Amino acid sequence: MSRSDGPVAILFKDTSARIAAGILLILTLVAMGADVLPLADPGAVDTSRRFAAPGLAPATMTLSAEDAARLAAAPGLAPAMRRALFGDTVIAPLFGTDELGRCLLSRTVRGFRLSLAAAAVAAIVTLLIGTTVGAFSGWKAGRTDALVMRFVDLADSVPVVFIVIFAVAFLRASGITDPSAKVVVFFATLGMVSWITMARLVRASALALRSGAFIDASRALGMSEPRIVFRHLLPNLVPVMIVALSLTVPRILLFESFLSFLGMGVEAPDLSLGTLARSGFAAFNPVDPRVHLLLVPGIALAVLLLALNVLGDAVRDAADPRLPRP
Amino acid sequence: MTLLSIRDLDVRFGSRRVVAGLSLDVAAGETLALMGASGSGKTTAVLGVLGLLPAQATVSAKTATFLDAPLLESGARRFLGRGIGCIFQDPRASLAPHLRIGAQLEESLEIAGVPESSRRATATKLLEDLGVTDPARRLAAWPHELSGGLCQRVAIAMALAGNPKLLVADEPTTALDVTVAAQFLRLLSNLAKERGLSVLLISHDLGVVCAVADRVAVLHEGAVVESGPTERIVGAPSHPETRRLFAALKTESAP
Amino acid sequence: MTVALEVAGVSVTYRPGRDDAVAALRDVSLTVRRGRTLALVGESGSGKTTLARVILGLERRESGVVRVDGIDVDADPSRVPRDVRKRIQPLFQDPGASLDPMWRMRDLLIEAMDVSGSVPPSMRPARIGELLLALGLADDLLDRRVHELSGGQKQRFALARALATGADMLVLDEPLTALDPPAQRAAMDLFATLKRDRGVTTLLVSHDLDLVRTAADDVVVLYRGRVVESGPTTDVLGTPRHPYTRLLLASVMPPNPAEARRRLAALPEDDAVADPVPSGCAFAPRCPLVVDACRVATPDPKPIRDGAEHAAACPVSV
Repeated sequence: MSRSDGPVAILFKDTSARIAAGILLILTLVAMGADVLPLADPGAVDTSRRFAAPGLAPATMTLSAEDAARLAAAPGLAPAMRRALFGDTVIAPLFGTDELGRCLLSRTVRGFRLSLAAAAVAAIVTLLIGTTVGAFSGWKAGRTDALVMRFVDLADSVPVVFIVIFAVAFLRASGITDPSAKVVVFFATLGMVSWITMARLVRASALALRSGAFIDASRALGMSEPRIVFRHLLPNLVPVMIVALSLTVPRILLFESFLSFLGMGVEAPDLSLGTLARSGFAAFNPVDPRVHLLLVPGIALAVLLLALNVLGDAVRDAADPRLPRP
Repeated sequence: MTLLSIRDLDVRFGSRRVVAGLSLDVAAGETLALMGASGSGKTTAVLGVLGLLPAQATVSAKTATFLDAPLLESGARRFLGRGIGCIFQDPRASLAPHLRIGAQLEESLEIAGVPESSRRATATKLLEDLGVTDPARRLAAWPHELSGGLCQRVAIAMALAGNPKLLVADEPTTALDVTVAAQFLRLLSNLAKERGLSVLLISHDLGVVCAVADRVAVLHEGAVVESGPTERIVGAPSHPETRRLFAALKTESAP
Repeated sequence: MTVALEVAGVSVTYRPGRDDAVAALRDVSLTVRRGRTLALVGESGSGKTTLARVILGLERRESGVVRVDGIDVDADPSRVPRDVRKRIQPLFQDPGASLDPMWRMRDLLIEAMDVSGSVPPSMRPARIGELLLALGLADDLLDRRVHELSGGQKQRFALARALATGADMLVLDEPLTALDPPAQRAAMDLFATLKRDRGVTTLLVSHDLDLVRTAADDVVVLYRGRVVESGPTTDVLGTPRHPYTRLLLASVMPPNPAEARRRLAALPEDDAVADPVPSGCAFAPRCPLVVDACRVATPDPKPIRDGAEHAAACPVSV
């Protein structure tokens, strides 16, 4: 590999990173384009096929007259594209169906959409708040650092689960039934916890870097403080930022699923992998376990987490020019 | 009497042969200096004989004995802290930062088999013998509270705790200030004289070697290319690698 | 000859809890004349690195004056004028650590020219080529980052960056310790060339008396934050007057067995314990010449005879 290879080129020489990136790309595209794809209505009840097991045959079906009419009447670009591309064809419930005969494949795709959104919110909040707080604290050091880090400790000691419970209870008590209000509360809570790991890791790294010889050399050259921070400190923080992201995002995904599983996160008609697992758990019984209801969202979450971890690891390595290249 | 005897020592890391057929003897009471350019294998050879290399290293030798007992097969580690004492380059780094000096010194004495009741007194005596003033206060101190010179003396005290016959010193002065290093060398040569201690000194400093070594062995590519009394080797080196090494070293200390 | 660097009455007290535990400076003065090399000699805790950082405007001083080419260096590191920055540049002990690991060498050199405003953009490629030639660096190294360079190459790039600002004054902090012997020899040749061909003024910070003897015109010996002896190198190292300078010289072992052993045997008993600095002369507890007066008043450096450049802070031996 030549010395001039950029981090992106280095990243995609790594086979496992390519696979992980491919999986994430496909999952994201599927989740974002769910309305264009010929997926069954995730809410369409069909009591004739309750608890159907996963299976490949048949792979496609034709929409029921009722569903076809609903699709034809649906406004917007996505349904129109779907009608043009796929007509009345719909993918059969390959992953089986739930207690109301709803297509688990379609539901999982919608659940993914929310999980990915949670991951994105966590990533953005983490990058914005966590990096700023951490870099500022570590760079300023001394008394400022002590003060900021006590504030971070404070934020870290907030019992997040209780806050969510209070918020949900408050919404219920005040008669707010709009499901989007709940989603807002939910995401705000995720944001509150997501940046703390980033802030701590970035701060520790900035603290070590600020007394490094290359920062001294920059000062001796007469560089302004913003220039040193943005051109020499922050680029050197990128590897640790990626480490923090790859720690935070999966944790937030799990946290989201956990809250939804407990019934404190997303609620019907919104779907997340957590709510799907919750209904799978509810349908579970020893006589007829119907494990697919639990396995499908579980495996989906596992694949997502694994891909994120593998990619995070590879990106970190690629972002650090000091590491030896195979 | 030969204390340490090594014939045809090989150390390999995978297919890389770092030490290749090294032979040397350390007689009782003598100080042997091992010299060589960086990468010549001097530290690797010594660590290999002492069984202190990581598991990837393959160490083999025709013979490697300490006091006629085999070193490699049965593991040299049983001699560490007893028959063989070691001091390393950075005295502060070789002390555990989380333990007081007294605790570390007493631990060395415990390994050496000194009964618990007399450890504190022995530790005090060791430091006194090494010219440390107010040993009681030093025993209660943490490593970071001591100067480099004091840390080095504590490291020597720990190495001497097992009443060793052989002291292995790997670049013991490079991390020390000039005046502290000189004091250390004086101490080392006095110890060798008074206790009949043998010293295996790894060093790339010609002045240090001249000051304390009785004999010098010069390493090149993992084998001894020349050895003999210090006066002869330094005064009239015969092997071209020795001359090359000394020429490179003397630029550091050119007049 | 004009004065390039002037330090007068500088004092620094270290805040505890910092890495460099003991270092402090008390009333340190020195001058470096243009085109000359002055060596700052001392052991750990002498304050030599602190003084270098104060001069570079990286460390705050409590009192005293630092002038670079007659321009006052502000005591507040954030307010040091850019004019000073582009006249005096450091070469740190570990040159590799002073180069940002994320950046390519070319970009580091361009940045130095940009920040100092020393070379207009159109002239930069030519100036870089000239610097590489002068420092014996190959063109293709410009696209590398610091971890892809050898020890000697790192140091040369650190030097190239220092010179790219147009600086003609260098502060070299233990410039040989990070190098192996062949690279050390090359570095010493390079410093000599820079001095001869470019008239670079140098403040050399080192504990290595052999390097100082070869490279420096003048020497200042520091002991626990104070100047104990100063003057032309041949005088200070040839006929040292302060007992500490004598101890330093006696502690270096020559590469000659008979002489080294003689020197070792002649060394005074010395505990060298870094306890709190005593009142009076800091060297008094270790000094073979000590008299009662040494423990009372702190001696200032005095010329060894009227009009001599060689000065020592020891009333007993001067």
